[in-house]
Amino acid sequence: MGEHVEADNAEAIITRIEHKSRKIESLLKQYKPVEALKTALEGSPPKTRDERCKSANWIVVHRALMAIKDVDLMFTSLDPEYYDILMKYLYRGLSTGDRPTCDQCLRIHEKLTQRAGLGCILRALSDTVNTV
Amino acid sequence: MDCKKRKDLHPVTDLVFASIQIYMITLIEMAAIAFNQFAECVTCHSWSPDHSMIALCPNNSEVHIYKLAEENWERIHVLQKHDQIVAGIDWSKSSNRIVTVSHDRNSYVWNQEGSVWVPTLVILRLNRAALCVQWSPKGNKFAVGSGAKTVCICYYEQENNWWVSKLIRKKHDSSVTSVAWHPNNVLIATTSTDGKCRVFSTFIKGVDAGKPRKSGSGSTSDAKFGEQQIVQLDLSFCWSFGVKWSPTGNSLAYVGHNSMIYFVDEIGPTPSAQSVVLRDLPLRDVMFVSEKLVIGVGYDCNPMVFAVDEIGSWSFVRYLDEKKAASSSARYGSQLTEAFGKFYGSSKQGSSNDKSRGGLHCSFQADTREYQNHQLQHFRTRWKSCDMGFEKPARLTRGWQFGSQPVTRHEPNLKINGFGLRFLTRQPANPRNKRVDPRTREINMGWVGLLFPDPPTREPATRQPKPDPSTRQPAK
Repeated sequence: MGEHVEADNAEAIITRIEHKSRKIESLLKQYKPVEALKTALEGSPPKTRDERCKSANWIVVHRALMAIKDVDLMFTSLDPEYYDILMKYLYRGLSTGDRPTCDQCLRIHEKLTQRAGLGCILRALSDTVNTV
Repeated sequence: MDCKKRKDLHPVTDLVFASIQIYMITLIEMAAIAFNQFAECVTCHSWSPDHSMIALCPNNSEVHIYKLAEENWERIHVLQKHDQIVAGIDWSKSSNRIVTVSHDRNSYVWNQEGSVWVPTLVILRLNRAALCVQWSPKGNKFAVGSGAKTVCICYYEQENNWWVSKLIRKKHDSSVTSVAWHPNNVLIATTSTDGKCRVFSTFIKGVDAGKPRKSGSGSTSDAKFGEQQIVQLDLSFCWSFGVKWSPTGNSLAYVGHNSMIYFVDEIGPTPSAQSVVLRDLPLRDVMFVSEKLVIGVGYDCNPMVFAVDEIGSWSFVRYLDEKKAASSSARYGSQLTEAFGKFYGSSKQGSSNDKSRGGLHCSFQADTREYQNHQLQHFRTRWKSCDMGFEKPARLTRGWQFGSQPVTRHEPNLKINGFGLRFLTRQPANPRNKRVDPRTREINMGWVGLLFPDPPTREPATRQPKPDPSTRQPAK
């Protein structure tokens, strides 16, 4: 019973992520990468244990992350409430080992640490429950 | 406005700082600091009721008592009875008694008779180290948190002439890192490395006269010993530390290892909680100066002041040491090692003079590495003693690799370390171990250097000898 509910829930989340993905594509076409990143980070599913949901959302976030060209400009319009979740995704990016992804993540990581401090890193790394 | 005259606060974490700083605070705006190097490393300390003396453990099995005599601190007593590091000291506020607990799983109550301190053994009935201790406000009980996932409530039994330990079992999922007594002498709050903060009743018939009363809402007339009074506070997702009640007992504060501090008001069936996110490294302990003012201390080597406003929302006010206001980027170089400097592609690393950072709270003057080694040493000792009740990693590749579970199943070396950061040992102890993905290792190597500059030489396997039953007999 519990698993069934979880599966249903996962389907719903995936549908939502697909919807989000289309929205992000259109935002990117309008050259609004920061809006796209915000959309991608919003409603990310840290609570669920379903790996498919997490991977699906990571793909969406990755798409938006890689579209960021000017990191400083991004931070002028990114609100602090996104910092913690962004940091978690940066570490997910770094863990892929993919060269361009890591380069991009490190660039953002530097600026993000300047803004959000070491506490942000600690929150991203120490939280083993709400992983992304 | 807090205009209380306070003397001699003690805002040093009981963890690693090699010295004690004493704050004379008249107004919170002016903090005068006295700096005394008592020992290489202080693991825990406690003030005498009149603040003229301090008892501290210099990172060994002894407890030293210092007295302030004409501007100088003089060592007047050395208490020797424990076999291992003393993990907690508390000097009763209401009676002149000291209780000490240690990793050797025993506790002693020290009474001053003439010019000597006479110990009385308290058998805690633990199978892991005791980690923290606190006297109840009335001084007739004390609570011990332990690595055995239990809390011991100890009280004196007149007819048998010894201290009895009563355990609260099966309520914690991991080590109990701190205990705090409610002013009513009955409730205690605990924090644990399972991330939760819990409140228990410790009502003991014959010791607590009459029915326990609790300020605030909720009736506790049916409070049984060890009963969980209030929903456990499940705010943190990682280790929590340093719980304290406010002076009236209406609210409590504790910290998480994820750089957060939590304030809980209206402790009862429906508590209201707030969390404040810190910019920098996590706190380790907190103290209520008044109902509206909290000081937190931790790994940032600079006490932080928090205050509550009229509508009841807590916020960070300032650092107690002003010097911290210097540019934040300069700090990376000073606190962290070369590897982190490389990580940031800059040349800020390895500054040898760190006085710009954190003022006196840095126990290191010359070498950042030394400081880190202090911390390592501490963690290592704890792990070595195997008494902490932290989950053991499945495979212990290095003696000091303590902490939680591997992050993923296939990377046995990837662990969360004491700071909650990921690190990987340089090489698996067994070179045939090919299970670590080399790419992952490369990436995470940056973090190895971050806090663990050099893998320590492998510790010889130290097993705890079985406790000698003769040492555990109650002393006369």
